[in-house]
Amino acid sequence: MFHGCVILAGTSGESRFFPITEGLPKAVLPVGNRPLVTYLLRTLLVKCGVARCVVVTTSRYERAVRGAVADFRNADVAVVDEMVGSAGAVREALSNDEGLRQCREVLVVSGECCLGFRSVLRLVETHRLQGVDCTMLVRRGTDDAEDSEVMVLSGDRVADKVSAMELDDDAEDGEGRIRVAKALLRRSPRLVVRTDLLDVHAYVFSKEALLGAIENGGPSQSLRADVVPGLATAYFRAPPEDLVEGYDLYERMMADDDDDGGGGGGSIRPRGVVAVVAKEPRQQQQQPRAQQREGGDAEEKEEDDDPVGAEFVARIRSIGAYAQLCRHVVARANLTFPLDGKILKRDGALVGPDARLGEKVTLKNTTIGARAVIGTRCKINNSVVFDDAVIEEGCVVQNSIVCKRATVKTKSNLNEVQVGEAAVVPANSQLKQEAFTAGSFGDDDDDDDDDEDPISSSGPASLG
Amino acid sequence: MGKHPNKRDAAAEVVVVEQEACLQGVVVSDGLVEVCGRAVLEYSLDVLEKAGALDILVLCNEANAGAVADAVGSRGRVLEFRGCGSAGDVLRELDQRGVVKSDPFIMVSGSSACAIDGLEKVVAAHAERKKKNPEATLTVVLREGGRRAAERIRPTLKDDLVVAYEADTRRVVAWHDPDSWSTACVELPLKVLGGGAVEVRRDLVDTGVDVCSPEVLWRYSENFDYQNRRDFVANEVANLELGQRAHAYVLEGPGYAYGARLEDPRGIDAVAQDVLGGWAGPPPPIGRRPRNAIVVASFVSPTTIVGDGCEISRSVIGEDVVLGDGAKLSHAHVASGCRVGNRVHITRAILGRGVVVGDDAVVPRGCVLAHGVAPGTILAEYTRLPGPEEEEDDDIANLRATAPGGDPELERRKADLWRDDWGDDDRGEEEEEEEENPPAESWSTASNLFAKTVRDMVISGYKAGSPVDSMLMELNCYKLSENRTFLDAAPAALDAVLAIAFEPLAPGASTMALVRALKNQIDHWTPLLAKLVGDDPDDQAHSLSSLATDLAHVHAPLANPDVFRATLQLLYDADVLTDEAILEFAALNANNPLVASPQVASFLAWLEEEDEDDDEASSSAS
Repeated sequence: MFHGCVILAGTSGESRFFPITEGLPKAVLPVGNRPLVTYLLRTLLVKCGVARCVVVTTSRYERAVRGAVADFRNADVAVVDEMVGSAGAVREALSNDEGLRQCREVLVVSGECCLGFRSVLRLVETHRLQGVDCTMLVRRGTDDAEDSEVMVLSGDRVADKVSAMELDDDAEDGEGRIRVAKALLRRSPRLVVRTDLLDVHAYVFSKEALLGAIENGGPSQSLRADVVPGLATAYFRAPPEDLVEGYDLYERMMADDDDDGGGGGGSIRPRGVVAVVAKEPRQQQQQPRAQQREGGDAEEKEEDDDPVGAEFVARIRSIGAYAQLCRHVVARANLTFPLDGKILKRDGALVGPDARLGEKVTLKNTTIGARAVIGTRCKINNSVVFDDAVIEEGCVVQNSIVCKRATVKTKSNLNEVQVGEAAVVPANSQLKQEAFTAGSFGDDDDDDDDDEDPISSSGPASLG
Repeated sequence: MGKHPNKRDAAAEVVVVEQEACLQGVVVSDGLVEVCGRAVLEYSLDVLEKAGALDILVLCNEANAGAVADAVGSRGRVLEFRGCGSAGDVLRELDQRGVVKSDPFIMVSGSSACAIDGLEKVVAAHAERKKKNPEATLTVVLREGGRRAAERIRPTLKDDLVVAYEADTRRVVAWHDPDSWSTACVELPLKVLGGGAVEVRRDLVDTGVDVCSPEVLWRYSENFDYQNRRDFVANEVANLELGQRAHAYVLEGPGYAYGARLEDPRGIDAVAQDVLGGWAGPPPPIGRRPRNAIVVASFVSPTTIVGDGCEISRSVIGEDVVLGDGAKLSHAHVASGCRVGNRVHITRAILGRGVVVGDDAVVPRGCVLAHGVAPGTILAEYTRLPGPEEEEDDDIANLRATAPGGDPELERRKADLWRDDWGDDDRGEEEEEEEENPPAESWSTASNLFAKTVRDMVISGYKAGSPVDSMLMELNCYKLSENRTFLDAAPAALDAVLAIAFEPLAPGASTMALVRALKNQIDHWTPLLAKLVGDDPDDQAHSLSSLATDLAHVHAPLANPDVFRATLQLLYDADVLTDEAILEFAALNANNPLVASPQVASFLAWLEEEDEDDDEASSSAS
């Protein structure tokens, strides 16, 4: 087959996702009661006809990732050392997997991405049409200041790509400057410098180019910061394609270099990097139905069939983005995409199997995990409740995330709160914008015991 | 009901007429250089008229007022400015006179050759933007040169412009003109990018046409550092704190728009080719089609006499030119009144007015001639006449004396005090040599404002009759304020003294007359010169070097070895220069033709003897 895919699922997002990813990579955070990475695998393997997917993770997260990937044929998990960079992870995946080695093109996607199938197809098609070394997916948006990039584009070809943070750090006065060489302008007299594009971290590489670029990379080599910008600038350093004489000379020169140095891949003429801009995500989210009505019936069906939307592009860089994605999936569950049988749609929420909801519970744009327990008269809005979590009676939970086996005791009011795994929020808490972990209430072990009665009493009672 | 809308229409019309009546056009400078048989100025007037400017002001200096008035005719008002050192000065005075009242008004720089349809759209866009953002006071009109056009013009046109502007608002965020920025990179601060897209382009050509609000003139008045338009635009854009008030309008897409600035001979050729091609530039003039010659894509003036068997391709032949039999011209620009001999070959060259080229001469590419060429001469490529070598060639010197109209033109240019800034085009062919002649450029271009100011101070002080002592004090203050030394001022002061001495004299004045004038002046200025040049022989040699290299190019009489020798002697006699300094200078500049000339050599020999005598005298005394 033609293309394979490497999904990078080795990070938990550390401080940004504290405390909800403790012990979990971002890729397996539950979205609509299923691990995030399964959306990506479904898009790639089922909808886009990718032949082979390898999900790369570290030994720390191996179990969680294997559990998520188990359902997919043609997908496997590769475990790499924690210290290798993203390029190193891809290198190991490529060298160890027979299926990937046979592919001509390799998609490399971050496990924290959620992509609609059409955006992936567009990426792959553009890559083939343009015949470039790498095609990257970007989206419009300035919502993520820390992640913002400065991209120098010539048409849709990337001439340079630097992180704004790096530029700021490099500058002596802390005020970053992007430098555009006049020599580059001679080669390509019309350039656009953009700061309104975010790298989605989804790339298609031609395998030769990728191998050439990562072959001798060090342990800290990063795809985003080293490999892709390297491929982009190499194209503009080589003589223009229309200069046939110069081209021949260049080829010969590179061939000579090869003979001397014995390095492989150098004789391949750089073909550059092209950026594909994803369709505006906001429009899709705000008016999914209006958009679909405009489209034809067939398209509409296809669109509905996709759990996130065919053109959807998102990357979970923060808790806010994660919550937004969860809401998006819940909202789209109104449409006809199959719900795996066990997951139910109820009262504006997705409810996992064996979850127990008390009487007079109000749910809105919320996901309730499997075996979770929600007490009577609870109001849960725009929130995510993981498997086995307990929210006792009379609680109001808004814009919050309650992790596995966590407990929110009676009559608490939470707004924009993250409750870590197995953490306990005391009764009658009024909380806003806070994070709890299991250790937050170190002395609370006794309280837990004391409060066990209300749980057991209110829990089963409410299930009645 | 029926009448109501009519009334409204009438009212609207009145308003429109009022607005249009206000629109003023300003042509800065006197672009009298001809492209395809028309003065550049006329193209500017066309553009302004098309854009609907009803009141056109043509600004010129006193030396050109007559010629400009002839060219403008009744199409606009000619405003004469006296004693202005730069375009900036002129605009400052224009602001004082208060004649520009319309907001916006269109300003065309003199070096601009353009034909723009739809400039009124730019004006409307400017007015609209100004309403929303009162800071947006300048709209620079740029043309998409395209990759090929840009490459064709750029290698010598100093117009290697890199512009960066915001893609949505068109606010200019970087303006890299090679004059003002010589960096290899364009640096854009991230805060300027402001989360949007910024286009960085090197394929744009500055048309020299701006749509301005009156604030632009105020800002010239506020800042005396602004000497010309380039200074102005580059500074306005670089000034982040003031909010970058310049915007760009790029002429692109379908529609008829052309604009380019004439910066040097190749620019003249490039624009002429565009005009002759007829598809990009202003409409080509209708010329003669002689039957006895092959004419390809050229303009031949109806009054030209074309010899049999001439081949003329991509050339412009001015009025009253006589072309000999079998002449071959390609990319040639022949000004009016020239005589080109039989079988002459001219390729990619420019001939000034009234130049005579003898039979069988070859004028290869890059030549710019203000004076004639003897029969049979084969010039080297890129020859400039008059150039440094010219004095050695007696034939040419003779020809030059007889060439009609050559010298008055030169005199006119010399009188042109705006030459540094007002569109390089209006200095014409003769002075372009300065641009490509590094030693001359080193001090005589606008970049050396200090030298220019010193020169102006001395000349104006002399004209005002100030005593030399007070002039010296004035110079001292100025050099302190500029953090310079007297030595820096010395070449410029010498230049001024020479100018005062030579300028009143007729071009053909005898050596005796020149020396007499010089003696008077040097006697007058001795205290000042002695102070400036100082006592150190090395410093004095430095001043002398400038005399021999730079000044000899500017002051034609000084290139005469007799005059040069006399100058040295006068300065020596006046005790401005020591014998040591002169001898050191001679040793340093042994290759200079002036120093090597027999006249100067004999003076040096005399000096040496004198020196030895002195030494002997002193040693015997001790």
